[in-house]
Amino acid sequence: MKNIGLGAWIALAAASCASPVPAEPTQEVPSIDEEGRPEPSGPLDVERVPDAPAELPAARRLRRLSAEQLDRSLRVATGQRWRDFERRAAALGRPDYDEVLSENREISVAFDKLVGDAAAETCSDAVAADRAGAAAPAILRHASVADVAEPVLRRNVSYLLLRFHGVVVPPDDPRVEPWLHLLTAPVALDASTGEDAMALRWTAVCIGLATHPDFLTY
Amino acid sequence: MARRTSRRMGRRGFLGGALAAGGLLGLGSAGRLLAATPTDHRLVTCYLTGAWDVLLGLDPRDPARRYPGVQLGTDALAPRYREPIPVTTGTGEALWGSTMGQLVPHRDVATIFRGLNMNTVAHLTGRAYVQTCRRPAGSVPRGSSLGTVWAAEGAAGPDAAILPNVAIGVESYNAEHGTEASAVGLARAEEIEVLLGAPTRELPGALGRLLAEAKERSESCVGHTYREPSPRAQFALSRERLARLRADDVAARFAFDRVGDPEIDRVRAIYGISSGDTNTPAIRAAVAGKLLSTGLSRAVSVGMSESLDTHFDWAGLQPPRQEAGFDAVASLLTDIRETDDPDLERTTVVVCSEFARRPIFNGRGGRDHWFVGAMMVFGRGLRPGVFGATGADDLGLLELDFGTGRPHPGGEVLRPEHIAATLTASVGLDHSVYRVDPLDAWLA
Repeated sequence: MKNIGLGAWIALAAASCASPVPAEPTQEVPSIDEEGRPEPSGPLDVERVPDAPAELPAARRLRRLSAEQLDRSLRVATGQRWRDFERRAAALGRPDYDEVLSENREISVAFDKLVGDAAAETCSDAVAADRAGAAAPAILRHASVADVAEPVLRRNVSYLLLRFHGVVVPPDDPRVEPWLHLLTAPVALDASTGEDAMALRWTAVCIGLATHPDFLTY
Repeated sequence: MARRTSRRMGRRGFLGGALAAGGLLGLGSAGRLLAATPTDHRLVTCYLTGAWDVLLGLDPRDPARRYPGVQLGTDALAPRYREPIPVTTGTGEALWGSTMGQLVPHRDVATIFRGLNMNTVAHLTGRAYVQTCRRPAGSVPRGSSLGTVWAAEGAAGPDAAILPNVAIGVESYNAEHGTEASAVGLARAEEIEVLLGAPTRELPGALGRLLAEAKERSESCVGHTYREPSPRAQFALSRERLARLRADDVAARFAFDRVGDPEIDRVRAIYGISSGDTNTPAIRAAVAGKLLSTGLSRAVSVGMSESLDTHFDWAGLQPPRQEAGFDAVASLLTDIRETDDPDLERTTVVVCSEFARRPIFNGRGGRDHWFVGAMMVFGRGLRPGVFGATGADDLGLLELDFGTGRPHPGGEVLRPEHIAATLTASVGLDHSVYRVDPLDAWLA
């Protein structure tokens, strides 16, 4: 009896090995249009996402940086620490695991306000450190506050877009223009010297990049 | 982890995007900075954390009687906490707890719900349940906080409340509504001044304008495939709101330590705020009151007490902490009724906790958890009085006649869903998510 039972199991195993393995279902990779959006590849099952636009596939929910992520990201990008972080971390959404147990990842007025404060402080400190001769300048890497030539400014903006947003943007790319305008627009600034005025402008560029959705959300 | 998803774009998202598109152009017009539309109904949720002892609060007993399954512990209490307070309300005379003295002047708009089945004795679960009034999945909240529900139905566009939903020292959930309705979370009451105040370092005006232009013109690669408003639109909306706040120096109205301001003096007197107080229940209540009276907010959720989780030293900690919470609520009601809503026609104040405490003592001078809770509501939307009851001798659940609110064998057991459905129905909001009928007989 034992031999018969064993034989039956062996036969079953052999039969299962002999049967063809079903092929992996192939997944169609959606094509991308000129603006980087996925193109619809035929009728979509709108019942699956009844309240979403029919021409876009369902996507995960937008997230902004957590409190800790913001602190670390600013330190990496500017080389400076936001000194008020621990006092403001709870308002940025860090749970205390007493009354608040979950991380707040919503974009809100409170988050926006505090990010502005954090960026202003770290960017000011970073530019000041670079002017004082930091070994690895964070903001004034390819330009100094004495530089006003457009190619030099473009190159540094291109570098900052890579540093803050992780995008490779050639110096002559249109995406540099808004920040270049900030550096060159003929406005009177209340600064003691032209170099101080340029330092303010570079601080403003840094703040703009650090408070940009591409830095804060994903 | 709490759910904070906002899946629907819908009307709110569209309006948010439209507002954002025009927001930066409208920065110069402060206009209706602080005015919520008069028809917007406001909600304050006062959460007494840690599970209150209802025998000292919403469901006391007569210390002159004996109850076989209830240990009142009267002798252990300080003399001021030994006697409950007889209060005559719409349903006749009822006892209110000895810690509720300051609330008695507001009995004309007070409804107490007793015998509330919280169905849990776990803090996380009870907290999620009482704040959403929908049964959580384990300890994971399902649904949105009542404050979020209120905020989501408020006005949108330029006349919208700038901070529609604020949570101070308490969690808030948003599972079904646009991000505009999500609560701005503050860990401490004084953080409101930081939020409303000027930036810590400001760029010169001309440079600030150039920066705003640069941000508007710069492209973003985040957001193309998201169904909700893009991050640029959401940030633009929040920045427009921040600009409106600064245009009217709103932060000064929350500086409760300022001297020489008659309004600040009035607030300090009403709430009993002393110099140097920070983040007390009174301060939190004062911030909530100011958020409503300035029109900044439509819904405010406040953690209104120190922890009431008195497994030890019940006699020393429970009464004064509960009293401090109730006193803060009373001050809030006084403030609201003195300033802009004397009859609470357009304001509802809910007072709650995650469950209650056992009617008998543990072996360490404390009370452990008890699943039968209570809730209190102030506002003209409901009939004043007492709805529900618990077993006199055991603080147990009773079946109730939902028409009379009295015990009735074969009736129903009261759950948070019933109260939430009734509250939302009282202000004309959709109550279907709670999957129960409102207590129609208790709608004013």
